[in-house]
Amino acid sequence: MHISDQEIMSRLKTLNERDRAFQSLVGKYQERLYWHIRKIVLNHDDSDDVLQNTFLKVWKNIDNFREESSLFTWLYRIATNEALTYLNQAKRKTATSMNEVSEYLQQNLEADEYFDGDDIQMKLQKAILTLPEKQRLVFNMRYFDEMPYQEMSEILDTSVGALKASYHHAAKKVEDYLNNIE
Amino acid sequence: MHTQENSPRKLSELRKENPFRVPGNYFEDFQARMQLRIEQDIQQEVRKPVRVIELIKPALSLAASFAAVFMIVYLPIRSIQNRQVAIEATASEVIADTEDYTFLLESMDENTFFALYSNGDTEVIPADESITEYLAANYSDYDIFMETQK
Repeated sequence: MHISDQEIMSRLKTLNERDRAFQSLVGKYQERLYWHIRKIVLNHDDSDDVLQNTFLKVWKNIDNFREESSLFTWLYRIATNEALTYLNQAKRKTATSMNEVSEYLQQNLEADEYFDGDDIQMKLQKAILTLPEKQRLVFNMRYFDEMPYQEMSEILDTSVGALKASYHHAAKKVEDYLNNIE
Repeated sequence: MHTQENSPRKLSELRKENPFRVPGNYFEDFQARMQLRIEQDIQQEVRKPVRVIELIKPALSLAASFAAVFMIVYLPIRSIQNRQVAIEATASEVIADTEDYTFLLESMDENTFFALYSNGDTEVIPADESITEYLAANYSDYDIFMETQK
């Protein structure tokens, strides 16, 4: 059953309907948020943790959501922040520089039993891992999710122009990596 | 499957597909697991004992604020006041010395005064003005007249 964001929000604000409305919200957004998170942290188990953390944060902050942005934007922002926080925590535990986080992610990717891609897909993922954090986010959201720049702009709080430039540089770097790796 | 030989060199030549998958029934079960996680979280919040530090945190914050205000406002004012007090103390010491000197002079009878006055190595003869001032301050015209009649 399709339920609009507005309806979910109004029911979330009503205490006796909150539980059911939250179930609806999880049902509606779990897959989209999962794939968004998975492309950032790569490993399924980590993605599952981050997705749970994301919805837990949403649950705890329902009353603080002022509806200045859309529900979709708010959820994506939380998911992005949670994923990046997760990576930073992993960085503090295992590494000291961003380069080592890339290595950590690469290990995550290679060890992930739920990666079904072929050799080319693996190379593409490794190429994406060479990008700086923000460019990686932009590339994934644009290339895989084909998200409109305007939505990306609201989620990442960055101008459309800057996002377009960022994607352009990211795509160039990925292609260079693919050409030079052989 | 692509090989090294026919590897695409441009993103547009790549098959855009999701290389990741999830365990079976992951999304079907997720809602129930999420519900369980929230319930556990709520129970933990309820069970979580309130630590003493959490209770006294507001009071500590308030005390810290007062201490900060004290350091910022009171100490500089106090240091300025101390300087003023030091200046006043120096002035009052001078005044006290003068007062003591005056008190000694007043409590001294004339004979002692003159004895002390004339006790120096060199005899100092007071100026006429000094004698006139002294007499004017301490004796009335009548006293002076009566003294001169003796």
